[in-house]
This record gives sequence, structure tokens and C-alpha cells, in this order.
Amino acid sequence: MLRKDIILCPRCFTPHKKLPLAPKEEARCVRCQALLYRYRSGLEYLLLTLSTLSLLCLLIANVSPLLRINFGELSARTLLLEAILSLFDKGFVFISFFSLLVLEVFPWLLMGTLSLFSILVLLRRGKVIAKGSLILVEIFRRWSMLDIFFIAILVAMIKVYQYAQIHFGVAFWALGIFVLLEIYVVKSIRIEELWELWERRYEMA
Amino acid sequence: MRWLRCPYCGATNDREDRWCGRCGLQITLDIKGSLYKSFAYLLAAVIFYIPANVYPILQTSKFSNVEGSTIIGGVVELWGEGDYPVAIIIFVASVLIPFLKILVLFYLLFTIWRKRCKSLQQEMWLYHLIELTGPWSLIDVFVVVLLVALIHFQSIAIIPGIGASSFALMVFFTLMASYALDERILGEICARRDS
Repeated sequence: MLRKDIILCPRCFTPHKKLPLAPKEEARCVRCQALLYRYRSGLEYLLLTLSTLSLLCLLIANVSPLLRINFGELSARTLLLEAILSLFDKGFVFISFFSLLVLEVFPWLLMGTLSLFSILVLLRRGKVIAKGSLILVEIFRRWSMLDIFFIAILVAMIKVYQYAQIHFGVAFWALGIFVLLEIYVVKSIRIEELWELWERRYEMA
Repeated sequence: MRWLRCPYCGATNDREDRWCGRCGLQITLDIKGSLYKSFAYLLAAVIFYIPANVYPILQTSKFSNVEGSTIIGGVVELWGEGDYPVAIIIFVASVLIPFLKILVLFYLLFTIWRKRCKSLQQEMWLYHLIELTGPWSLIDVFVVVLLVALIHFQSIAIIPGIGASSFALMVFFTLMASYALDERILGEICARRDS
């Protein structure tokens, strides 16, 4: 049976009695001080705004050039998807397929699913679809790795800056904004908060 | 403990429950299944760790003269050129983190297998540390992806090496090993020790 009155600490599994909180208040574990739950009003609006903005950034990051480098007379530029798929031609199927999943498929699915969830929750419709989307979010958030790719771009450019001129494209900056938004959405908004939001919204309906 | 935390949605359920009352997913604690799955993934990671470090991760082709560079070789080269911050980032992300991650996973699996828990806080800290830092080992793989896409001229080109695939597979299997390990088992074993 589901125990809504009890919450187990995510770090040390100490049971706590769940008490109602005032806005901006948070409950912490008595043993290890880990965050148990908090009350954040307007979470659905924040989520919709951030996820929609992230999707927009991701779109820009995909349609415009990521980088252009000049080696004297030689020049080359790449799009995000072009970079990922370039290894397919070289026979490195696993790296290319894995990169396609973690740098394209999962980030799109993560933000798309979060947008869908926030819209459904705001409209108080599609309870089962909203529940399914939260289950998927938990999978996608683990495998979305554009933040690592962004740092990899900087490392790669440091490796070649002595020999080449580097021009960062619009996609690079869009990717930077996406990474900041994703870090906020994934790290700051815990999955438990989204489940509580789901419960609250559909119980009230 | 009388209750069980759902690993997917964090809801508290009665220990006897098979399915979570909130998200509907299976919540039973499968100690053996988790241990075996995690160990199998970890073993696969160890196997790929060797070619990942022995074979070149990327090759530079200059006027049909091909030169390979392993991960350690790349770090030494960067250090020699005075790019200390990048050398340190690559060393930490590509050499230190995977190695420590494999060691920590072996330690956690041993802890579960022998039911020996030193301190729950320490074990959970280690678990969350490897979960947080694990994916960052992919930096080197993504650097290769980017350089191969950008530098492919007739006179000079970057070609991925066999080490790149092995390294990506090694990181993938360590990620799978940490995800297959149910953190609640650590809580269970440490709670038994405390009681």
C-alpha cells in the first residue's frame, strides 16, 4: 500500500513523517541532511517555460553551424548532427549510434516529454499519459549528455587553437544556453517533485 | 525496514508490495539479480578497459603519414605542450575516473556480496559519486567525434582509432553497471548491520 504520510530519505533511507509545508519551505533528513521534499508553487509554469525554451535552443543548435575552423587556406564547418554521423562513414558504428542517442535522441525526448507533461498537468487532462511521460523522463534524463559534449567542444578547440582559427557558430551558443537550462531542469527540479505535482494536480481535478 | 522506497518515483510503499502504488512499476528488492547484472556489466567494462588504453584513440594523418595516439599518450603530449588544464581534464575524465569507477563498483559489489557495510553514508556517497562522475569519461570520445568531423582535409585528417570504440564501450558498460546496482540494497545491508 502506498504510504503518503511517510517519506524515506533518498540517501540513507531513514523514514520521516510527511508534514505539509508552506511555500518555499523544505524538509531535510534528520540523519544526513539530504533534501526530502519542498513546496514550490508554479512548478508547472516554470517547467513549461524552461522545457519549451530548451526545445527552441536545441532546434537552433541543430539547424545552424556549430563550428568553423580555418587551417590557412583550408576551411571546414560542421553541424551537430553532421559531427555525430561522420563516424558512421568511417565504420565506427557504435560510437556514432551511441552519440546519436545521447546527443540527439534523448535530449529531444527529455525536453519534449517534459513539455508534454507540463501541458497535460496544466490542463489537468491525460492522467495516464502524464504518468507515462514521467516514467520516461527518469530514463531520458540519465542518458542526455549534451553538457558533456559542450565541454568536449571546448577541450577539442583548445587542442587545435594553436594551428587553426576557430569561429563559434550560432549553434554553439544555443547549445550553451540549452546546457544551462537542462542542468537547471534536471538537477534543480527533482523527479519526486514532478510526481508530487502530478498527484496534486490530478487529485484536485 | 517496514517500507520500501520506489526507485523510479520515490514513493513510500509497504515492504510486501510488488508494484509501486504511485507509478505502478516493479519495486521488489532483487539483491541477487542486481548483483549479477552489475557484475556482468562491470566485467565487460574491465575487458574493454585494456584495448581502450593500449590502442590509439585517434590517429593523425599528415600527407599519408599516419600517427596514432593513445589516451595516456595524448595527456603526455598535452602536458609537454604546456596545455596543463586540458591535460589535467583529460587525465581525470579519461584515466582516473574510469579506473576509480571500476574499483569503487567492485568494492560496492563486494560489500553487498559479503554483506559487510562499514557505513551507509560512506557507501551511498561512493555510489552517488560514481553515478555523477561516470558519464564525464565520455569527454574524450566526444572530442574524437568533433575532431574527426572537422579535420578531414586531403593533406591532414583526424581518424578515430580502435581505442575510441573500446573506450566508448568501456564507459557504456560502467554506466550500465552502476545503473543496474540498486542503491536500496546498500541501505538494506547497512540497516541489517545497524540493527
